[in-house]
Amino acid sequence: MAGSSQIGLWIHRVIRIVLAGFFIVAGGLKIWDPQSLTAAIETYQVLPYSLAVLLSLYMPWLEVLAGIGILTKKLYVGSLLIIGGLLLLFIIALVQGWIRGLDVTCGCFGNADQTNNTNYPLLIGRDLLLLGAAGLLWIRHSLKDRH
Amino acid sequence: MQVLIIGLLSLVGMGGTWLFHPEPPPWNPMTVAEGEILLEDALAIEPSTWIDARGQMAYEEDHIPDALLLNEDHWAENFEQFIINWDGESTIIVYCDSRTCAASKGVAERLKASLGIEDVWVLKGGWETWLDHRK
Repeated sequence: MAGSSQIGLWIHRVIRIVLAGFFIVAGGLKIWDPQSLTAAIETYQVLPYSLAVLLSLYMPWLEVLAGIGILTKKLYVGSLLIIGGLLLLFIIALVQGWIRGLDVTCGCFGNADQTNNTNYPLLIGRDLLLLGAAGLLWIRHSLKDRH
Repeated sequence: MQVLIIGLLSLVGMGGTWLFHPEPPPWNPMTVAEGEILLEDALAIEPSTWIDARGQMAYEEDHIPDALLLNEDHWAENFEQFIINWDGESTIIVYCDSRTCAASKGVAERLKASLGIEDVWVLKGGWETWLDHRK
């Protein structure tokens, strides 16, 4: 019994580190290159240009800080909520792009993924996987709170 | 409360990027970015080869005169046709639907890599700008 809870603890830690790493790296690359992110946001054709600029300046910091926050005790829950919310937004943005037949630039890792021919299933699948991971952390946190 | 703290800290970071980043995004959407060219400048280039990076249907419906179809959906066959028609020297200008499409950038990058040249430009505003010019 103690062994299985130990495994659970390790799985929890790994998920936490992977999620944190993903958001810190993705956000950091975007902070480095806000022009590319603005161009990428524009390809989704959902926001006016000025809002795309503001988002490209703001969102990367949110990602990095939430990524760091998920590794801390004091900002864990808030960071988890932000990460979950961001992932939901990314999925919605991708799905609408897919439905509208847009060729979007993911923008997920700044200038490092300026690819054409959007692979929607892959991108949505990855975000769903990350959302699932965030969900698992949330469930574990909720269960822990009850006990 | 935690969300608010992270949100406010992100605002501070955002301000930092805005104030101190050497190349922040421009507030004017028609600012020409690296690798892009305005229509008036593109029209002044001689000789030039225009590449239509939109889909085949859009190309067949209408395109910039003498533009060649080359998109990433049918790269192999389109590229073969392009090589037959390109003189090997003229400046290449790629366009897609509008200012917000990504196809022209993708095709321009791929052309640079495939041909080993740098003289490849993306038309700012794309097909929409051409339509405005033609009116």
